[in-house]
Amino acid sequence: MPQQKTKRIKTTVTVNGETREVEIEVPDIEAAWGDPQNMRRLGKRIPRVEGADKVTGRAKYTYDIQLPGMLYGKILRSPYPHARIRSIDASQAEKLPGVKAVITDLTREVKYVGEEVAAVAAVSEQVARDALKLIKVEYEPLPFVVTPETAREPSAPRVHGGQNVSGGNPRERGDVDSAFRRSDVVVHEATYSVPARSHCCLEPHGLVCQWQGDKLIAWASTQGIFSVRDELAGALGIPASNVRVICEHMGGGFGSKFGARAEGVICARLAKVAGAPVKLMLEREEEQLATGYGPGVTAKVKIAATRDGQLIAWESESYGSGGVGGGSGIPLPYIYPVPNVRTRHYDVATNIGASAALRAPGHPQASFIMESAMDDLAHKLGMDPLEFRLKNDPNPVRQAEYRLGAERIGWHRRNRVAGQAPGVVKRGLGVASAVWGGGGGAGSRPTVRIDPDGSVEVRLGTQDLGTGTRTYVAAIVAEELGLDVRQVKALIGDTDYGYSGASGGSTTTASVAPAVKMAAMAARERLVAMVSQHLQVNPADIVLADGKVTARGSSEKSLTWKQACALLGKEGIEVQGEWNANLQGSGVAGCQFAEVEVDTETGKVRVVKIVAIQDCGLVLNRLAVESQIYGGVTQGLAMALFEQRLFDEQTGRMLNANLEEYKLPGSLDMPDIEAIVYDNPTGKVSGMGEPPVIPTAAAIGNAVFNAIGKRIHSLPITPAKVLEALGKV
Amino acid sequence: MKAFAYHQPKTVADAVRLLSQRGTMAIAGGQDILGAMKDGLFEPEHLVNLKSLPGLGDIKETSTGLQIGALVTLSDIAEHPVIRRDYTALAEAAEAVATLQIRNVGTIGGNLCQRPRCWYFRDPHVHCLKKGGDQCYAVRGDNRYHAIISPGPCYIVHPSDCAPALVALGAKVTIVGAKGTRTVALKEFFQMPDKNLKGENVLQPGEVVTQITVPRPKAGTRSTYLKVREKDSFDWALVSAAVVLQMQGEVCRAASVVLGGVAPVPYESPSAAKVLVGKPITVQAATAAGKAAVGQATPLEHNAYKVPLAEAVVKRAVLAAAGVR
Amino acid sequence: MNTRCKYLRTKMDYVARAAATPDDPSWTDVSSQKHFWCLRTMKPLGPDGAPADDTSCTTGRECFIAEGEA
Repeated sequence: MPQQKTKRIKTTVTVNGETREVEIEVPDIEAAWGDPQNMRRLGKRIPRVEGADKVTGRAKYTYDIQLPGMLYGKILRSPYPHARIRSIDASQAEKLPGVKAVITDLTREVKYVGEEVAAVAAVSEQVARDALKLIKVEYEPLPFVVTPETAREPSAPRVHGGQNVSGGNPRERGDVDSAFRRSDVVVHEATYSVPARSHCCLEPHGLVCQWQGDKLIAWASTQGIFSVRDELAGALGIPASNVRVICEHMGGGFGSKFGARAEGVICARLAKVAGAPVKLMLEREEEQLATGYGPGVTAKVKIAATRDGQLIAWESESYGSGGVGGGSGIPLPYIYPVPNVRTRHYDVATNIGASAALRAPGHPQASFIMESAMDDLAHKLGMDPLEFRLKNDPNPVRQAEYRLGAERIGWHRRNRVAGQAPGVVKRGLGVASAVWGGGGGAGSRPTVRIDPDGSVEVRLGTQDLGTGTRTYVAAIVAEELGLDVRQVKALIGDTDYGYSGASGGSTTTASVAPAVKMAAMAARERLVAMVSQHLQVNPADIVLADGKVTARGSSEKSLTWKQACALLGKEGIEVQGEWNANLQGSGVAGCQFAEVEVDTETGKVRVVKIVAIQDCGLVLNRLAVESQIYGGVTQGLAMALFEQRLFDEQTGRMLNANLEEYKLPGSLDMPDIEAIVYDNPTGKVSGMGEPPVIPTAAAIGNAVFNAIGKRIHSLPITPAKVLEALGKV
Repeated sequence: MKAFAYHQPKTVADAVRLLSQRGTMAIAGGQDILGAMKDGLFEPEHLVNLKSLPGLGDIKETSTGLQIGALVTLSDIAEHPVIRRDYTALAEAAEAVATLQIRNVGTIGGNLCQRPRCWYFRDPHVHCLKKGGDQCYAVRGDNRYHAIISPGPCYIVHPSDCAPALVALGAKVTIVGAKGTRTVALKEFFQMPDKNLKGENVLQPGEVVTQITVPRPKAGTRSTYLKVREKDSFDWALVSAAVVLQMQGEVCRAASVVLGGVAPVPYESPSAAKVLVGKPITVQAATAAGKAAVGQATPLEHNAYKVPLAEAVVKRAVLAAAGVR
Repeated sequence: MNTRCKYLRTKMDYVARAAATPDDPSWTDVSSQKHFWCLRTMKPLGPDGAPADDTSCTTGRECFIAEGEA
């Protein structure tokens, strides 16, 4: 294999506010997206190609898959937060007519309500449900703890046998103690907290499994068709090549749908035992109990700046909880560089199902804590919170975004002194920021095929979480070949297509788009070679635009797309592409401004407006980027005002394992959202799916502070907390 | 959901006969009971569809007031021009229920007879006092949404939006059972948990609400319903208030103040009404009514915020009903 | 650094990750910011019921099998 040419480049990187220079190795292939001014499709507002299918119900989600003879799987879950299983008797369930498979070997001890105990497959959901009720499980309830506060007490029941609290290694730089002792600094200390929040994917977790001999086809609602394939193959002891995973459309994952997961293995096993395809989609309660959530965190922080507003020191002690799992850490201090830092983070174990990555894991939590502390400190300094940020944020993109956002929200209308708004219903403004990587990586193997009849398709085993992957995959090829987006068929969501990675960390676009671009360029090159020979012109003079193939400067030498493709012969063109580092960038910046009204008699907060600005380098589909911003702001508003997972210490059960008391905003709760895509002239593509969720809650919290002059230290900002902060309770 | 036998009686007498059997429950719009059955909270052997009964789906205006069939939907009430004009609190209450989809299906009878939303009661795995267990978990648990006024031993709040409005408007309900028909003032229909722990009202097994009668308001009557909830799309009241004022010129001649979200029943406050009667409605009078309305409150550990909230809601509802800005 | 257990997974094992993006703050090296799961249980608990993560899944543990081993 020929050695691929590489080059080393220097680039600056920022991790949690610390900027440093690193040298990295990248493939040395000349490739560029070109001038956005010359693009006909990319960068414009492209309606998603599957949009009509989705709104008419033609689009088939995993939930919609119906196969002949298909059975329905259901999982029996623990009603106890901690128990030993003494015995399971499924004999009655097995005898129930219509029951085709029963599994009872899942665990001998349950550590949280909702943990898998047994499973059945039956001819209908109703029979499957009835069968679960016939499974007799003898539990021996054990001591449990379901709140991090109680779990931290020395006398608390032990979740895993050892201490419930782990971690706490200090991360330190500079001389924190000296910095706090300096005579020219202003210090602020407070505790801020964010509760655990559920993913609430519109489509629940689940899959349909069908065996054909020792081969398995699985339709899965997933962020990673190849990761599901590999995990299913491993768990079932079959070669990965025997497993095909399909996810044509899916209703959201937000970080909770990476692997095969417990229900995936159970579904495949049930299908094997029953000898028939099985559909196993989780119900909303199961979603709340057993599919993850973003961890809650409480942080005691101490922050200092010089009197003229330069951040100088940060110290924090934070406690997060990911239930029976870990992963509750958060990046502190966040975004704004601080020279002297000491942080300690502890994971607190509880008898609650494990947390999972949730859209910008740890960042919205860190944002609320950091940005609240920033505004509280700015208040003590007598400084405008925006001035304070402009002074402490070296990022040039955010510097520009702050100024643009201030103008769009009308920052001059803020209360100069927090709480000095007149009237019973007080208005306030707030700001907060976002950072993300958004870079991609190698591995995607797209194929572009041009048939002699002029049809074009691009195939890649990536998946569209709803972010618009399919649309830009088609649009990149269309742009390259001078076609309409609808003339390119984008086939994705099937492991029979070329490999692509899982969609997480906002990496998909920067991983997929460069590879597709390279494949499209290769296809174009082959086509141009053929046509230039036919027209007897220099290949460099061939122009592909508006569905025509034309020789520059000679209009009579022009072919329609179909005429050009007819020159290709029976075999047409079929080429693969590989990722190219020159086409992707990373390090995206954003900020958001919030305007709120706080009713000081009812305690109710109404968000009036959010101005959300986000960059992602070169924009592929402006409409899709705006959609991501709307979605991020909506989730951020939910975090600010409504969402929290509540557990009862008496029973160990979740009080709101539903979408009734687990509150999500509806249309009447939504503000005016101004989504601004900041065109950052990097010429490179970066991901941005996650960052728009980061600063919304913090900006709203700061706007509430600006309105009423009182800090709500914990999310969500409910009427109860506002009334209490106002001294009315 | 456990399998059940489904009955579609054609007469109220047949319905009553079916409902008198053990393990039988009634369904009309189904917006409460279907969710509860899916959750495994109720597992009736027989379900009796009241929607098959004729004549219970109409709103009739008579010289003495309104007769609202129990099967009338909340949307029909919210959109009815006479109700909007003369019984404003009821129209506003019906419009404040849940979502448009639920209001299009949910009935007024069901809205009055729905079961509480208490999260301990709704969890089929929690055997609370109301379900025959030995403790009310809300007392020591998370009671942020629970009652601030209750004689105990249970601290649910009544979830209906329409009930406070109908109590304030002096409505009566017609109840049909095996022993015949009876009419009960709506305020007597609801019962505190010290009187009736397992239910929330006077309905006996086999009895159904067939009609709600609302007396024609006296001249000069104005009313309103105000509901404060955490989110505006689909949420239960933290606190709500129905206020009915009979005005003569500037002076309030009669008043009724009924709160939702504070007690196991729609909570009528005669002391709040008393503050208002015989005076012009001013901000001061409205504020005093608000204070009087929850003067007897004894909040639990996590719901003391409902006291100032109720004061504000009553004050605003009084001012809104009187048209004072 | 211990050899990793062949059954330990985290999301970063599956997303395309370039050497070019150490600046992605989602790819922190702090293990407390990662969510792990064990392929034998599909949960963040090993087959022994104890936590599965990069500090717990080490050579001393009975269920540990190094990457590449059968």
